[in-house]
Amino acid sequence: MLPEKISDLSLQTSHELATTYAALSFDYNPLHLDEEFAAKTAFGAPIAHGTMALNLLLQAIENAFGSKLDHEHLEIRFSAPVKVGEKITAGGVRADDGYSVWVKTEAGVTVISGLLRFGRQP
Amino acid sequence: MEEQTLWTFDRFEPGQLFGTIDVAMDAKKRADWVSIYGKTDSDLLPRGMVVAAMMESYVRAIQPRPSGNVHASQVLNFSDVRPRWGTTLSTMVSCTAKAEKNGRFWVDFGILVSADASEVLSGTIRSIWAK
Repeated sequence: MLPEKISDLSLQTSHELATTYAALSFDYNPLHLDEEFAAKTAFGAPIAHGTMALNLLLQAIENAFGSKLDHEHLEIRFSAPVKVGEKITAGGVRADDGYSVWVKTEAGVTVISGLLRFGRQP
Repeated sequence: MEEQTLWTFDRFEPGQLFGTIDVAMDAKKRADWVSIYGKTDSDLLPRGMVVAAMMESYVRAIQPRPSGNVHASQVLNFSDVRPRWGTTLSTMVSCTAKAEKNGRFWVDFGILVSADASEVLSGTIRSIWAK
């Protein structure tokens, strides 16, 4: 039986983690790493890699479903930036046709929202 | 050394292929993964590691690129194939769509990740290109 919710999983972001994630994903966009560069953008400060938060969500999904994972279809939107240094939490709840999933900051800002479904997609 | 031309919005065309990039899921990748997301007892690659490799391939395939591109949304379709640490993931990257809306440059990139010729992940990276 599938769980009613995807239990919360949190990650404390930091400059050190952003640097490690840059190496992991080969994404050295200065928006994530360079304070001086980021200060001149609309974000005003370095923001975490979007997929760093997305992968936290995928970890939460793996924790919830384990070996039952099969043909997951995930559609998400990066709805707000995560400032490097913020703590983020991923989770989800059962919805009509899958799971409503998210990643939020401690302030309650949704930074990723989306839908998870299982099964082959047309 | 020959200077490469910056990838700007104007140069993208739907149907364009950027090649296939191989990324080894080696001990360094595993150590970096663990230092961010914590230890895993399983020898199976976390789904997120596949996504990180997808991003690496996307970044490597399209160079040089302007600073300040934004990852706006993402579609992921995983198969039932679960590669293990130590394998090499191969990712094909293509342009599937582009549009200029309200002064923003939207580009969709198709990705197809395989391990040992079996499909692991397909999907779409939607980016707002910086220029």
